[in-house]
Amino acid sequence: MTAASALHLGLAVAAIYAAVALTFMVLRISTLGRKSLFSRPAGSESQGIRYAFTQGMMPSAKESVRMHQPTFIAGLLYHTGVFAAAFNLLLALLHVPIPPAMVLIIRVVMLVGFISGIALLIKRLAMPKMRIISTPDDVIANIIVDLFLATSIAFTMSKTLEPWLLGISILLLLYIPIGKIRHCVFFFVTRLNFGRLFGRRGVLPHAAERKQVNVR
Amino acid sequence: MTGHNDAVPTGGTPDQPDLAGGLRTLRTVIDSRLAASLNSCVHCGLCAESCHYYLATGDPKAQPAFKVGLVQSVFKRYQTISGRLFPALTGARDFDRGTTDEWIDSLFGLCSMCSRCTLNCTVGLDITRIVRAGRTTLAAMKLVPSELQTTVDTGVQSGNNMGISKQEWLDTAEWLNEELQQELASDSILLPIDRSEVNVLYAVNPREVKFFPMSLMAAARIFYAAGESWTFSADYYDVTNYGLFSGDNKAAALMSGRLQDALRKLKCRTLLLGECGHGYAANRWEAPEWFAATPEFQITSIVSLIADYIKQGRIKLNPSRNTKRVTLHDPCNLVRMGGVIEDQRFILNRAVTDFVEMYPNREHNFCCGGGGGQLSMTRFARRRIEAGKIKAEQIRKTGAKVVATPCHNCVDQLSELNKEYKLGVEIKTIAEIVSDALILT
Repeated sequence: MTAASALHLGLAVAAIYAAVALTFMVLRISTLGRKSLFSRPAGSESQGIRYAFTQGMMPSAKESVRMHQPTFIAGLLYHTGVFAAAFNLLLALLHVPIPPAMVLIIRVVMLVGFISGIALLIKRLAMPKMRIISTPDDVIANIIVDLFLATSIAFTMSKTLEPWLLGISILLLLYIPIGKIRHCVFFFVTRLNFGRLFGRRGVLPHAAERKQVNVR
Repeated sequence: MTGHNDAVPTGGTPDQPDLAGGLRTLRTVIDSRLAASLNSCVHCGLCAESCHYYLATGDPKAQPAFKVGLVQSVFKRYQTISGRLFPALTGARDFDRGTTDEWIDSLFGLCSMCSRCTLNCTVGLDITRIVRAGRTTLAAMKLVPSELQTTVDTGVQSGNNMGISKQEWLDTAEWLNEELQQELASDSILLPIDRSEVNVLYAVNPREVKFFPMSLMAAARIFYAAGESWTFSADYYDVTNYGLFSGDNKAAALMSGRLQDALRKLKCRTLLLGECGHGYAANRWEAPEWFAATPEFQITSIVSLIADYIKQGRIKLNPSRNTKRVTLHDPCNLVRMGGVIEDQRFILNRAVTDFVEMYPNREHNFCCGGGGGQLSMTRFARRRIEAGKIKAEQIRKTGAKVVATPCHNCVDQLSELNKEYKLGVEIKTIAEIVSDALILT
C-alpha cells in the first residue's frame, strides 16, 4: 500500500468513526428523560421551530448578536470557510475538475474564514472575559480547524500538498466527537428545542415580530 | 424545567454533603434537551451582556457561559466519554466541595433565572434549565442557601410561604369583605372563601394577605364589577412556589398540587393565578410536567382575565383617574417564559392616560433582579440591588411616575430599587391600577 492510498483509507476510516461516534452520542442523549410535555400549549411548536431556524438566527432577533457584530460576522465567515474547505476536499477526493475561477472563489472564502478563525482565537486568548470561559478544547479545536483551512488553501495552489491536507483532515475528523466541534450536530438539536420551548409557550415567533417601542 | 427531573434523595448534611448522591441527581435531571444544550455550548461569550449581573458588575464570573461551564464541566467528567478520558483537554472537573461552593455562589448567588440569556444564546441553549439542574443537584445535597430553604420549608409546612395561620387568613378576608361591603353598599359576600362550584379559584401571593391587603381588595372590586363567580380557598391560596427556585421538585410539586387539589375539592373550573411571575410559570407550565398530567381545568393569569373582561365589556374603565405617566415592567417568568405579553399592555392602554414602554421591553425586557429566589437570599442582597441598576436606569429613562408590574415579587424588588436609586416612582400592580380606573355603577 502506498502512502497516498494509506492516507485515503485513513480518511475514510476517520470519517466513518466521526459519523458513528456522533450518531451514537445523539442516540444516547435522545434516550434521556421523558419526551412528552403535558402543559397545554399557548402557541405553536412548529412555528417556533421554523422561527428558530430562520428569523430567530438573524441579528435583528438577538441583542447579543447586535452587540457583538464583528464576532458574529467573523463566526459566520469562519463557518463558511469551513464548509468551503469541506467542499473543496470532497471535490479533490472525487477528482472533480474545478474551473480556475471557482478555485479562486473557494480559495478566497477559505482565506477569509482562516483569518476570521485566527481573529476569534486571538480574541479568546486576549480577553480575560473570554479566557475565564475557555477550556483547552476551545483553543485546540480552533487551531485544528485553522490548520484544516490553511492546508486547504495551500492545496488549491499546489496539489503536491495533498498528503498534508489528508493528514489534517484525518486529525479533524478524529477530533470532532471528542471536543466542542461536536456542536456541528448538537447545534441543530438545541436550536430545535429552543424553537419548541418558546413556540409552545406562545413567546416566539409572535412577540418577536412586534415592533419594539422606544421610550418617548 | 420539564421532564423527568426528580431529585434523588441523598444522605449527608450541609457540612458533609453526599457528593455521590448529588451526582446521581445530576444524572437524573439531565434529560435529552439538557444534554443537547450541554453538548452545544461553544463558549462564544456573546451571552454576557444579556445578563443584568454581568452588565451591572462587569464580573466575568457573572457571564451566563461561565455558569453553564460550571455544570457542563461536571457533566463532561461523569457523563461523557471524552470527559472521562481527557478531563484536562475538555475542561471536565471532579465534583468536590470546591465545586459545590462555586455552584452555590454562582448558580444561586449570581442568577435570577430570568432566561434572558436563553433567549439571546446564539445556539439556543436553555441556560435557565442548566442553572436549575445545578440547583436541583445542590438541593438534593441539602446545600440550598438556608434563607431560601426556609422559605420553601415554610410553604411546605404551613401552606403558604409567609407562615400565615388559617385564622389570620380568615380574619383578614372577613375584615376586607366588610370594608368592601361598606364601600360598595352591598350585603353580598365579596371576598368568598370555600365557595364551591364557582368559575374561578383565585390564588394570590401571601404577601398581599400579610402586608398589602388593598391589593386583594382591588382584585375583589374587579371581580364584583365583572360579576365573576369566584372564591378563595381557606386552606391553600398561595400562588408562589419557591421550590421552582430552590430546585426541589418534590416540594414544588407538593405546593402546586395543593392548589390543584383545592380547585378539585371546590369543583371550580379555572385556576386563576394572581400577579406573580414565577407562580405563573410554576403552576401554568411546570406543574403539569411535575405531575406528568394535563390538568382538566383552565389555568390562567388574572392579567389575561382582566383583559378579557375589558374586551367583553364586563368592566368599564375611566383612564382619566390615572393621569400620571405609567411604564410597565415585564416579569420574566410571566412574559419571557410565560407567554403573557400583550394583555397587560392592552389593559394599561385603557386604564391610564399616559402609558410608555421602557426599552427593551416584552420578552427582551431586563429582569428587575428579584427573581430566582433572590429576594429571600439575604446573603446575596447587595448583589441583587447592584444588578438591579440596569432596571433602575430603564425606568428612569421613561420619565414615568408609576411603574406597573403584574408580579408582587417584582414589586418588592422595584420598591427597593426605587429607594436605592432614588427613582421617585410609585410601584403598582395591574389590578391596583385597574381598580383605580374602575367605573362602578
